[in-house]
Amino acid sequence: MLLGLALVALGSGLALAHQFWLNVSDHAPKPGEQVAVGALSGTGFQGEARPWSTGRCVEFAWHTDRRFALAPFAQDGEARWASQAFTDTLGGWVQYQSTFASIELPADEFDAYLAEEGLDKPLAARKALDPRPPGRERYRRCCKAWLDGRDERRAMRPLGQPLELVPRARPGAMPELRVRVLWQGRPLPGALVKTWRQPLAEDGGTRPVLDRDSVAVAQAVRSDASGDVRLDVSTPGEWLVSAVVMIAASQSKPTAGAPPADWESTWASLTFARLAPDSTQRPAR
Amino acid sequence: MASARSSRACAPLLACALLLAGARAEAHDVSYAHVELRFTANRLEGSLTVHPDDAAMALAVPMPEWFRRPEFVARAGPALSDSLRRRLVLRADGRAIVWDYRGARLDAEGRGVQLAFAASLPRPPAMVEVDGPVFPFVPNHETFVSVYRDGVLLRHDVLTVEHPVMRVYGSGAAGVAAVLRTFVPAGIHHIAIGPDHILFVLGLLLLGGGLARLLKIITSFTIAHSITLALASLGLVRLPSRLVEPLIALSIVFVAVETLRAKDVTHGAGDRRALLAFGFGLVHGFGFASVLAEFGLPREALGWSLAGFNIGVEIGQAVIVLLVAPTLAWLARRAPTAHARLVRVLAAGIAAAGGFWFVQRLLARG
Repeated sequence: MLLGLALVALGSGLALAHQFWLNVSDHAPKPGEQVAVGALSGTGFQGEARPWSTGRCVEFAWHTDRRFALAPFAQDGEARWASQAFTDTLGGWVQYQSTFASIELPADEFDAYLAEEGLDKPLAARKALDPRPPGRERYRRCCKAWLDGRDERRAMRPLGQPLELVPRARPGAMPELRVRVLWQGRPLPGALVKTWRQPLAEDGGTRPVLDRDSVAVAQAVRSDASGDVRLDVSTPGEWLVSAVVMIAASQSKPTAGAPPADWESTWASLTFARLAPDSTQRPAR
Repeated sequence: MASARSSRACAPLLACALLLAGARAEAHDVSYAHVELRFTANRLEGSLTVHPDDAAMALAVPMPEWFRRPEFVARAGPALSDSLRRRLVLRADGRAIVWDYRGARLDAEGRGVQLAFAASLPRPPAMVEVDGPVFPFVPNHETFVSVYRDGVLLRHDVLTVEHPVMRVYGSGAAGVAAVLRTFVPAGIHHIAIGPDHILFVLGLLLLGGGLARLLKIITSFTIAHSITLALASLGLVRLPSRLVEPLIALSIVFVAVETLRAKDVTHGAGDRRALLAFGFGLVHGFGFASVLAEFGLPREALGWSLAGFNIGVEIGQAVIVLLVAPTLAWLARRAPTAHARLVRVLAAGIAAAGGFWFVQRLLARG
């Protein structure tokens, strides 16, 4: 029995993909509040802090009506990437894009992971190979976190990430959120979009890393012909929305410094909070 | 990006799976280590923090979760220290620092297992080398290093497979000497392995002339590239390498074509070679700066490292001048026709090489 379970774990559980998302101390800060920004990586929207590494950053910025570069102020090795006073109550985005990193997995594990992530085309292409080679992949992260404010247009504005989840309304404002998946600036049909929800801390901020529990996927849905998905985000909490695109590395435009690979994936994440209906009565922080 | 990172919720199951899987390299987003080194005059206090997954891999422990338990960390600390001692090499003035294990605990920030160590030093080190990264075979692993002297942060650095060594320099005359010992050879080496700079200097010398003329040309080039090397290295002026590198190639073509077109412009008002050397020297300085940036300019010894690299470049150039100029002068005296022919052949070859590099570097921009 135990052996069987272990083999199942080898066959599927170990192939769980790591999500990577921006971790802000509060998605709905009060005016003047200092918002700490870092990144977490892991499964089940639980995560571990990812130390800042200058060499891995393509873009790290704060977007309100203007763009503020945050990367120059981040310190290598620090879990807290930035700390910024929230002064613009119209809302804004924190955005991060990484360089490519690489990974290689045995063929079975790689295929199990492709199946888990709904990456049907790469999976079908690999199944045609005999023998199937190990999965050599390079991957990058495109993350954004919404800091809530009144301006819906800001929330809906694409930031220009290679793979981007663009809300069609202010995230967290309504029980349902429509999100458009943009790949290279164009709507992407058929992308598998997943969500997770993590309860908020008692003070309404995001839960500290060590207090988070692993949670299951709340919803997994494919984008329609317009690249849109409708997500049920009615329950209060911090929400993570994620999608991934994988293409053959040979189809990719060459990127300086990108490690060699057979497959190239781009991971998008979007985090925001939906507050409880009485959120206007938030306790003092 | 798939990951073999275990989940806390299903640790026992994963432990069995890992036992079955055996020891294989695992890749994840959070393979990192933190090294903190605090130097005083005769002592080093340090810590090394590693992720539980990496600690488990180092000791072939089947359950990384065990490295989240204080009692297990305390027990496994000495063995982990012995294992990691080989993966993180510290040197003071070229000699390995033998450090003593002082304990292990869970890192207060939740980053993993923290080992404390200490060492006595015979004297304040002029140069400290940190040789890593701690887990070079783990894809994407990074070792973050912070070095303090007398409580003051000297430098942060990130060690990776591509950048495995960090050097930090001491203060005082010994520190300056250590900086020069590193950066003067680096400057010489760059000239020696850089055919574009060698051909440019050669192109400048082909027309020959008296000692005063050659000195004027070379000094113009030296002053110009020293200016831009300093400005670019200090971050005061920036030019993208996609612009600088083709321009350097173009400068080689230009000087060579000038040589081919020249009849006798080595004297009088027509001699604008010193001016050319100055103008293109400004461009070459940006090229030197990009090399120096890759080499890593130590913040704690910015001026001396810059000076050392520049001195090395000058030494490299001086060697070229001392080899080429007397030879050409001798040939011009003994066999003027052969000399003229050689100059034209060399100039044509230099122009061709420069043209090739120009096209190559332009294409590389895409």
